[in-house]
Amino acid sequence: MSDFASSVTKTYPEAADAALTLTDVSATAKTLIRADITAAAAQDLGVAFGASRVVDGTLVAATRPTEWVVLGPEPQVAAYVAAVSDAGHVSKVDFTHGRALFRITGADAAKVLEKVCSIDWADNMMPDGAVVSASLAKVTCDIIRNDVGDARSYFIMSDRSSGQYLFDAILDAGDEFNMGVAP
Amino acid sequence: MMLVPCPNCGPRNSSDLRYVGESHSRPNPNTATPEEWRTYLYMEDNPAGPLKETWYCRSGCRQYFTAVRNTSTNEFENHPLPGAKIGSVDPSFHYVSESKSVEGNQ
Ligand SMILES: [Zn+2]
Repeated sequence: MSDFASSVTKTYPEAADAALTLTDVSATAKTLIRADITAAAAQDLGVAFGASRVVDGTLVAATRPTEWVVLGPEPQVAAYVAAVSDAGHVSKVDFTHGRALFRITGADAAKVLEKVCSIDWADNMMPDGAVVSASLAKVTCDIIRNDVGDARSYFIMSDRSSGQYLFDAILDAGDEFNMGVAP
Repeated sequence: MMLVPCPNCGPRNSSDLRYVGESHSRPNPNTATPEEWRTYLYMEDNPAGPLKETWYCRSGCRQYFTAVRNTSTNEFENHPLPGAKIGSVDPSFHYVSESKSVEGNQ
């Protein structure tokens, strides 16, 4: 999506080799699917509220009991979403431009999140692949645990209008853990 | 902090939810008298003890649910979804709700 402009407009010194990183990945294609859980689409999507899975080069996350978000490169997201059944009460909306999306990666990632969010980030409550919606620094966010190799990592998605504030709030919380901004 | 047991999300900080109010059955709009509407809209029982309430999980699953809270201790007794018969739901958390989504009610 060449004309995409992130809500995070400030520039930060890059620290790609920091042990704990925050990355603005808002340009990732994002499609919202709402469907009745009895619709064929819910079967196609294959994950229930609170879980995610990687399929066909996309990340499919069940963010509400009747709502899913598909993330990934634009062609793969478009192809995957097109293949989800339209039968019954189903709506599909590309909201790439409407959401901010960040990734926080590193062993201390959960320690940063627990400063700004009341969710229990312990592995037994929030394992790799788990999805939760919660207030993060007073902004309602969808959070998906999506580890990168052995590294603990979370996607954080909010409304676009809160993006710059949220990015700075997370950086501020991560300061004591030497969080750096990675490209 | 007060923990509110959302039937979808599990126990959550009450700041993640919106307190809707005491749960009363809505009168029939075709037959209700002004007094009955006024009672439904404005009057509360406000007991010191168990109270059936409606909560909205605004930062979590965005579903409405009813729960019985003891107003003296802030302990919740059960947590069915609206329309469910109290005591008839699976007491375990994290089941998938079959209630309608509540778009536009954030
Ligand atoms: Zn909830």
